[in-house]
Amino acid sequence: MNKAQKGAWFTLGLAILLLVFGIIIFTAMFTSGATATRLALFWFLLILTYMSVPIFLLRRRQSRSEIVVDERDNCIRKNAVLASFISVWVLLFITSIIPSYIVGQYGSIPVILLPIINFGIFLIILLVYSVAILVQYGWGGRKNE
Amino acid sequence: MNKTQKGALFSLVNFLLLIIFSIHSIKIIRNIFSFGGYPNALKIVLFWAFLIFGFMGLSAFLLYRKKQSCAEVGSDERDGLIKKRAVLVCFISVWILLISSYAVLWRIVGLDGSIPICILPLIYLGVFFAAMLVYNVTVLVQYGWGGKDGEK
Repeated sequence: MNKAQKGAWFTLGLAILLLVFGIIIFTAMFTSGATATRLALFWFLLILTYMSVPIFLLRRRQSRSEIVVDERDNCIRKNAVLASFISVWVLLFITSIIPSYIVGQYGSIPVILLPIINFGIFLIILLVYSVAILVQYGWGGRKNE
Repeated sequence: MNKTQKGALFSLVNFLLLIIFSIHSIKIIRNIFSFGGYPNALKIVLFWAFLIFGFMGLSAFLLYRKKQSCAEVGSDERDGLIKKRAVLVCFISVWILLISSYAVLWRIVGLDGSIPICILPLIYLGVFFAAMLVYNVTVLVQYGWGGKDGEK
């Protein structure tokens, strides 16, 4: 596994953890009791622990002659950005339609919700970006073949 | 000018026209839905729409017909790289534009305020137009604003 793949796996894990954390926080807002708060705190600590993974993951090299980044890595990253860019618009389109089904065509949406929705989109985009990188590398086979 | 530059310049002009058209028609569309109505509103919107789409069609026809040279290729590696870099810049600008639009909304309606659902797609459409402007300007900047053979 090269550096870009390790980074993509790490980002994928982080995005999933943050999405679950968001769901826990969201459910904790509507339920009372200490269980949800304790779960949210546990998940937060888990994320913090997970953040220390790159120290060990990125330190270990594939081989002595491994270079940090080459042309192919750049091309793969740029393709992943393109995939993420397209998915941003698809997700924004979906988020502009779904609320009208929930609150009706003449309903309104609190302004405070908009950045939260977009943070959710951002996390999904992180997932898309990481998956696009991993798919292009073939999910991390030996020597990326 | 090569094909990518022509495309970027064409899109830049058209998206600028679309932004002007959108700003101009906001007032008219608001009047259409108002109680008294605005009898000529639809005609004005249609006139502008035909003007813009007519200009788009004509400029595309004139721009793409003329080749740089007989041996001009449709797109090469460098063009691909320039486009991908522009996508990256555009991708970053989308997030900045979205955050800015929310900041403006907060300023207008306050943190506890709310906006009609129908405004949401319009905000995203505005962000899309602005992002397309950023994309085309980035492409043109990388080519040096269209010198001979796209070199500077």
